[in-house]
Amino acid sequence: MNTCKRFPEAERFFDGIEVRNSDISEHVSNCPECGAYVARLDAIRSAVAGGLAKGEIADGQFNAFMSGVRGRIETDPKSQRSFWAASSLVAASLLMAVSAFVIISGGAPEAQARTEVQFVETDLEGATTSVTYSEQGSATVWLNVPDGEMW
Amino acid sequence: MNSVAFLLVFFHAVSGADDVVSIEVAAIKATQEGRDEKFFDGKAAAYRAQLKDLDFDTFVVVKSSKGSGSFGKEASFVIDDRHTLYLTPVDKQDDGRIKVKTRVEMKSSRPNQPPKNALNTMMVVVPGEHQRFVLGGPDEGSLVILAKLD
Repeated sequence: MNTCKRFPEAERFFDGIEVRNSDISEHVSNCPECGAYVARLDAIRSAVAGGLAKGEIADGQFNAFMSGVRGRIETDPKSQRSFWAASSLVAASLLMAVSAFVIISGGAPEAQARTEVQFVETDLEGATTSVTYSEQGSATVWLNVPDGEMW
Repeated sequence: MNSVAFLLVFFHAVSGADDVVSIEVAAIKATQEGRDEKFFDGKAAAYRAQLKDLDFDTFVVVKSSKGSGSFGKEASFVIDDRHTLYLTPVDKQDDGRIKVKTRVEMKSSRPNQPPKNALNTMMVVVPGEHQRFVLGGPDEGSLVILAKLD
């Protein structure tokens, strides 16, 4: 971190912006911090300038070049749209499947218990009662009577 | 020792009028004869689907009857000299089911003793479905009621 007070001036000096104080150049030369900073900026600028390759498109390559440009322009939005469309479709299908399952599963158990036995009783001493249901929901009421009592 | 059982098949049938219930009742005697295959006599064969799972191998219709009844009124059906079936259609539920009270009265084997309710139930049944009441002892047999509303 540059602590010199004239650091902002040094930046403007490097950028070629005219500064009021004309001795900024001398200051950069004499100030270790500003000098080092400007040197780093200069090195970065030089490296960038040297790394950029100036590409030239020959006449024979122009059509292919434009075709590639158009293809990229036309493909990217579609691919994005198709992705979101597919995702939405999957989500909607999943939601519908879950809803259908809930509705169906919620309905089946009630159908199996449509017959309702509200009470069962007997006046016979020693007799016992019970109730069973078939898979279709019909009921069987059982009365177990001690031998000699039924007939 | 053969087990003797009376199987009473009881059918409810609902007519078009809301205050009248059509009733169909059948009594079937079911016994354990030691057969290799279950036997249903001519009339009992019509109730094979409702009887085949019971632990008897011989089914014979004792009595059957058809009639009608009104909501709130008790209708009777004599099974034999000791057993009489009474049923009372109570009302019709909002979902179409019929609430019905079913009672099987049995005369005492002892003299001068009043009859008793061998079974007294209240059920809400679906038209078209058979419901069963099985009354019996371990060796003497059972009285089974099939209730169906058509």
